[in-house]
Amino acid sequence: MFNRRTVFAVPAAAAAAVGALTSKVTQAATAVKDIKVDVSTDKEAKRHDIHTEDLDLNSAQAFLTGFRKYVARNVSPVARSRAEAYLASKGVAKDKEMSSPEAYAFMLGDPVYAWASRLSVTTQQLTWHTLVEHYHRNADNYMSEMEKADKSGPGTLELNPDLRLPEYTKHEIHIQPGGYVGDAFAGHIYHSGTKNFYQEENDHDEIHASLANELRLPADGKVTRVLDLGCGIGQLTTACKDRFPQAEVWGIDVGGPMVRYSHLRATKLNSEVHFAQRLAEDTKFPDNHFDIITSYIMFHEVTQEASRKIIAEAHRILRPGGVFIPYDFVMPPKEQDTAAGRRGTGVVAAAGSYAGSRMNGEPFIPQQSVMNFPEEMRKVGFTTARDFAPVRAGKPFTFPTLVATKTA
Amino acid sequence: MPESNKRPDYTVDPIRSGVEKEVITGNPHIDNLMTVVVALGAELWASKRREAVLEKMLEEKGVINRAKLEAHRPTKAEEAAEDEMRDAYIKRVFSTFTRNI
Ligand SMILES: C[S@@+](CC[C@H](N)C(=O)[O-])C[C@H]1O[C@@H](n2cnc3c(N)ncnc32)[C@H](O)[C@@H]1O
Repeated sequence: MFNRRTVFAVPAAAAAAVGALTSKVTQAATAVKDIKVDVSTDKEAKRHDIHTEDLDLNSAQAFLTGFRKYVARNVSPVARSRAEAYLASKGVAKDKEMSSPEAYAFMLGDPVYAWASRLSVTTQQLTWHTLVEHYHRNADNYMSEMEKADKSGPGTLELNPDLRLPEYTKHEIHIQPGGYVGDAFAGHIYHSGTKNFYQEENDHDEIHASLANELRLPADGKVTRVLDLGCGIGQLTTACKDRFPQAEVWGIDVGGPMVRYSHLRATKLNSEVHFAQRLAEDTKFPDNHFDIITSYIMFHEVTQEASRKIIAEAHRILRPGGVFIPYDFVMPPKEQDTAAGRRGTGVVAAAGSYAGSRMNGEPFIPQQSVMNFPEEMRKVGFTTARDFAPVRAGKPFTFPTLVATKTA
Repeated sequence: MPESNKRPDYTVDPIRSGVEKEVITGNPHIDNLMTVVVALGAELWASKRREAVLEKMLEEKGVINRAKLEAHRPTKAEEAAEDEMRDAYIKRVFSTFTRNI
């Protein structure tokens, strides 16, 4: 099996732990618990929270969260409301065919559009820079905390410094400095930064809890092993453990610092989950192994080519009757929807697509939003169904559920 | 070099986005100034908030003396510490002027 040069597995190596856990869980009936996030008690409210003991940083982040909302709700709408008049003033039809970089450059001719765009990018940059500065200023403390957690339980951690990372995984997604792989504190920074992105709707993993609650079970109801692909900082992973307390739950991610922080966080939450630095397209798990595989907002950050490999790998490691439920922005909610149709057409939509991908470090959204995921899933032998009732995961976030079942 | 750099950190070289080199308003000076203004907004808010928290705490304890606050003069050592904080603050707010576009 995989050459684990660095394995921090508590109490034994991960492989041994798999065997032990497996025999334990197969005897137990599947327990499914709906997670209720109750933040009415202080203890619960603080459970998932990332709260640095740096008042100025917390205030700056709070300001930037407010400012981001302000730009989205007050500044950008002004630009949108003038877009048609601006196009008309330049004698350009609003549905003129333009490439997205061209359309963006054209829209920047309107000063309101330009400063709305500038302010969005600036807010994102400042969010990251203030966090990077904080974590590196306190690097020794944060590093020691991780080193201690590396060797703690109840869950396990596997880091693979020799893993060959595909180029596409090294981008600075969301313009986060260093991306998921290039900063020792990528997980810390991602956690604090996404608190800002979620506009305070996910301070206690509410979104991840509702996604875990919405996971469809295999038809026979048996859930003994669950895998979260591209687990990031392990928020959906620990939510899965909360939902399926008796199952063996794994989270894998390409980013070493990401799984390391996942494990630190799970240790603090006393959640017995297993994290490994591995690739979603090459998970090293045996055939027919998992009952449920999920992923949350991973696919829009990988190439089409990698997505196809990941879909095939998920099919391989799922047991017959097992389900694969990826959540992402790019999953078509309806079979007949084309991505272009969903995104809208015309100059403003094309410009917006460039702003979202180029200016926010999302190089793969354009190719992913034209991929037909259900079709790709069927090609490798899944049957697919969509649940048209979207998962309401916090106010601005809804995801159509795409359930792919490995035929029994 | 901080000690942490010697410890394994499981990182690899990332592919840089280069977004900091983008000029969006058509004029790099304006781009810079807008970023500085927002950064200042964050600093000012942090400062106002700290003040509010402090005043609340001090008031609760009955230790605040406004006249004394206005008349405050730092010692040499305090001044050195303040200077260090000020320099870090300037770097935080104005570092966009150092970008090489
Ligand atoms: C937007 S993040 C989402 C993280 C997490 N699911 C969450 O709930 O926040 C996408 C994650 O996918 C990971 N990822 C991207 N490509 C991957 C791959 N090929 N294998 C494993 N993880 C990958 C990234 O490192 C990143 O942590």
